[in-house]
Amino acid sequence: MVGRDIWIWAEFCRNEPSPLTLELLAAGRFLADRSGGRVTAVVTGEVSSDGAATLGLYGADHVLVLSHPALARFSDEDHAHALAAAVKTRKPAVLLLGASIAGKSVAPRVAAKLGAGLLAECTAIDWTAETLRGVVPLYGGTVLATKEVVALPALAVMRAKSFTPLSPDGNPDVTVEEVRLAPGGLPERVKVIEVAVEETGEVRLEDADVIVSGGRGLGRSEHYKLVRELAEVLGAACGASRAIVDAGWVPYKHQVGQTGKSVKPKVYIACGISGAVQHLAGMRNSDIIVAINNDVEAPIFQLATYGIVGDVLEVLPALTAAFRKRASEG
Amino acid sequence: MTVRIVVCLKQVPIPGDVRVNEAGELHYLTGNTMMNLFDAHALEGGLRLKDDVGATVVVLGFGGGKVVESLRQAVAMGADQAVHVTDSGCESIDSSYTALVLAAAIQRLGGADLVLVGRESTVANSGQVGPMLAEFLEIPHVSAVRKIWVENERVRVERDLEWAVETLDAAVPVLCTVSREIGEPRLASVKGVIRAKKTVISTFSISDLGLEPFRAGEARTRIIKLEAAPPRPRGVLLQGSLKEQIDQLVKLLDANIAMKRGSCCGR
Ligand SMILES: Cc1cc2nc3c(=O)[nH]c(=O)nc-3n(C[C@H](O)[C@H](O)[C@H](O)COP(=O)(O)OP(=O)(O)OC[C@H]3O[C@@H](n4cnc5c(N)ncnc54)[C@H](O)[C@@H]3O)c2cc1C
Repeated sequence: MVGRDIWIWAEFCRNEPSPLTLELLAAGRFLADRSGGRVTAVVTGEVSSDGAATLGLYGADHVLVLSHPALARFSDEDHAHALAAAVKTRKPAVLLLGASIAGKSVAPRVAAKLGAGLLAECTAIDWTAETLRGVVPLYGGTVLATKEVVALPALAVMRAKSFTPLSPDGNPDVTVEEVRLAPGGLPERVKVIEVAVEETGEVRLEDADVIVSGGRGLGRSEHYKLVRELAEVLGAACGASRAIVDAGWVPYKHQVGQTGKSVKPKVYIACGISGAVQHLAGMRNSDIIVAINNDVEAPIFQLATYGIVGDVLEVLPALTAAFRKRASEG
Repeated sequence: MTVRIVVCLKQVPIPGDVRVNEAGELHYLTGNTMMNLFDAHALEGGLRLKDDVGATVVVLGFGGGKVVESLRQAVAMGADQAVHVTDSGCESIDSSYTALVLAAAIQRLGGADLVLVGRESTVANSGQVGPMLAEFLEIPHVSAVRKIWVENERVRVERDLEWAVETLDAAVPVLCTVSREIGEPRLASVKGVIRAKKTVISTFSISDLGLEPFRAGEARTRIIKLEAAPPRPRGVLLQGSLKEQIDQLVKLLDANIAMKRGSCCGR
């Protein structure tokens, strides 16, 4: 029989749980309180005692570490294999993963191995009528599907910023259970031979509370620096429309939208972006949207919380200067 | 060895075309569709390998008649062979079933050294089909690949994780889900377009593949309801001189922007 426990797959960056992992713990806690189970954070690989303690502080009742030399780096199949085997033997009710590249890669493979139902890209989840329900945006977020898993165990992949991490006053002495997987117990068909960590010093779009984003209205590639300057003052991440990614002004990882990243900051400042549906798909859930555009008819103004009609080449420097002044005063 | 590549293509509505009414039914403004953008990148990845190491590229589409447009477009771009698995009118939205069908079709075609699919579709952005397909084919997979080399029956790929770029190595067969950075999809050549017109697209039905048609009742998830995303309230255009507008904006945003915070987790 399937139990009532809620598992979350924990991802680490430099021994610290990723921001999305802390959100998953909050989601797990929410579900477990309703299902009557425990929250287990599952680590495939290694975790330091500090890392494990952080998981406890943010809501894990228990940490399960599946360790094997092949799990030290992220290889999609091996991690899916280890996770699926553990779900099969221990039978949690629900396994939550984050909509990171790794989470989105592991979850479907685990679901296929187990023949389990998977709710992908959820922006909300709930435990209703003894099963998992989730809200899944479709067609660029214009359609919201409420879906339900027919049988347990159930998997869900959660989009970033769907849950707010709990305040870290949980259990600092969380129990850590390590299970060493047998040598040869994983497929090990793909080897990670190099990991190049990008030291850009940039704030990541997915984690950012504030995003300054630029579009073709900036006119020229060099003008993107105006976006960077405002972002710098605000401690914000830099975004872009597809138009300027295609034009080669900024790398693809900055693209926001249906074929770029989906973001949900507190403040999204769109500079010289028209507001095409595909762009809106990636940022329409931002709490506050600010639009700067010289065309009062630009579609972005239809969903902007605050709009400034003006030339982005004048408005951006003035805004940067005003915030810089504010910062030096405050 | 000539590398045998199968690229899976999905036909999707053009962005912004789909609406849902109050009864929770989907409506299409124009009904126009296009090749899923990431699938076009997967195809480009396959064609580049063909250019470099002499691969055979088979494109495989599952769905209603419209997917044939993408299959022809793919042949016009340079694919060698196109295969259409018809879905008997009930276009499936179940990723697991889609993956099962594609796996059966690939096996029926004699397998592949490299299976390429787009990293996700613009319908749900979930990216489930690739990893599920790999599982059903019992081959390994790598997601979000931006560079592929093939040499001596080994595949080497580069992919982006959020905070790192990984290089991975595997023996064939392997499945990759492909990201945009693999390169911009090429345009069809005139010669290609003529060839595409003449090319016979082979067709499999679900029963040809020895499968049962999809039955919603057997899916592992079900849709409870569909609704339109709530509209955002229309905001305000700030008024006054540029300086006045800027001052207002700074005040309005002040509570929401914690200035000069450190960035998180070593990025
Ligand atoms: C399948 C598909 C997927 C796509 N995915 C994405 C995606 O993920 N993300 C994305 O962004 N797009 C995506 N697009 C592209 C999208 O349709 C638009 O082409 C794109 O978003 C436009 O970018 P833009 O707003 O920067 O440029 P434009 O549409 O050219 O808009 C520029 C804006 O700047 C304004 N402007 C001009 N000069 C000034 C000035 N001096 N000061 C102030 N304002 C000025 C103009 O009034 C205009 O509103 C996709 C398209 C397709 C077909």
